[in-house]
Amino acid sequence: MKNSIRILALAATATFAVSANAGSHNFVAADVNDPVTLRINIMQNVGAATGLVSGMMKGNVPFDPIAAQAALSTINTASLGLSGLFPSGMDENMRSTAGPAIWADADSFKSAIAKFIADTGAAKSSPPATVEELQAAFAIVGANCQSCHKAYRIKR
Amino acid sequence: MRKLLKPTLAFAAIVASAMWILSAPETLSDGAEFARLGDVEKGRDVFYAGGCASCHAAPKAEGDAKLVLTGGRKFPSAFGTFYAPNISPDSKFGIGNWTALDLANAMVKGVSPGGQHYYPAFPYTSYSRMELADIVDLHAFLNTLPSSNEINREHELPLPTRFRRALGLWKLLYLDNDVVSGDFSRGQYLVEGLGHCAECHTPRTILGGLKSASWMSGAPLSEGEGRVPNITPHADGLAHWSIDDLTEYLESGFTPDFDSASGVMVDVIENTSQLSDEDRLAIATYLKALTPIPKP
Repeated sequence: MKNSIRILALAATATFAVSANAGSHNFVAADVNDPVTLRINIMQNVGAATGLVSGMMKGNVPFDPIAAQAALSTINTASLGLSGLFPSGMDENMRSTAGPAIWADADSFKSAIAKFIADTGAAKSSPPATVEELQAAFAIVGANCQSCHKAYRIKR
Repeated sequence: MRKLLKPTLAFAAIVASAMWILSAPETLSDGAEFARLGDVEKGRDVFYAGGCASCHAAPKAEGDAKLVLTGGRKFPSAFGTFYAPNISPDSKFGIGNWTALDLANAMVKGVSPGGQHYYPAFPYTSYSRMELADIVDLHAFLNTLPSSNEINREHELPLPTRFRRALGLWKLLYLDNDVVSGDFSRGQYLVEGLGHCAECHTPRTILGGLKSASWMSGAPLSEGEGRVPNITPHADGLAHWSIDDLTEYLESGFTPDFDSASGVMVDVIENTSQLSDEDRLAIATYLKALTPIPKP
């Protein structure tokens, strides 16, 4: 009981803090027994990798093909781990920003993850050699953020 | 008791007549501004700033299909279920027969060409602040879009809400007909008028009007589970966002933490990404100047 209250509090804090706290991620302890904390951490890592890609695309960070490849690989790694982290019927789900469509339309959600895996896999396996190539690759990868969050994420 | 019946009936009749008069649909008068040929390019900007396609495109339309304003998107609410109508230029199923004045009456006064009140699921309470010249340009742009012969779906409303005339009284409470003039800033015009941000980001009264005391401080999502965030510069709103963070978000949909927009905001970003840098800056600057209010 105490444990689940702690998880609820963590998830709720992360939910609000991620958008409210510019530039600094709210640390959420990743608990191997709690998929909510795991997926929050995974998504935050995607955000960090996206920040690096965005910086290089805008010229705020010097373009480096190895760093670009590492960032795209990080996003691909995230996609590979997501499908098992949204078990249905957990009270904790109500405390994360996971939307009800994840479970109401589970097959479509799975297809969306499969697309995320395919798109990030393609980006990783043809590493961008120039900023232009990175922009082209990220245009495809980044569209997954919006399309998935449009259908499957809600604010609380 | 019988003695009282007559005066009571008379009083009820007077009240009913007064209500009938007060609830009459009010319209704009025709004028020189509507005789001008609209500017299609300017109308395109108005279209994206106003977010027309977000509601009037077919449900789940993406890309170019979002320019076919076929209607049909469902809007469940506490007052019943509304369906967005076809506003494509089809003269039979859409609004191809409308004049610019008709469009202005719809957007600014919430009144149809047939003289009926529209339900405020159509955000004329925000569009009422639009400059008429923008509506003339929008009218020209809408006429360049593809036609659709989709038949409008009837709203599904419980009995009290079905009485459209009563909306005239609702408008007395919640419709501010002041058209924005030049001394309002561009940002305010885009946020409060065209962008109709408050329609989702401000909580509503039991009668469905916007609670001005909680202006933009966030609200429950009307279409289902979840909340719409506080966008005032309060600690639980945008206090930690810089103006650059906001313009970046309105262009790419990415937050300062490189999280991305969710839900219906993804549609809004698709529109704001089409605006000029100056307009996004105007929106961001205006939002940061709002009164900070905690979320309700």
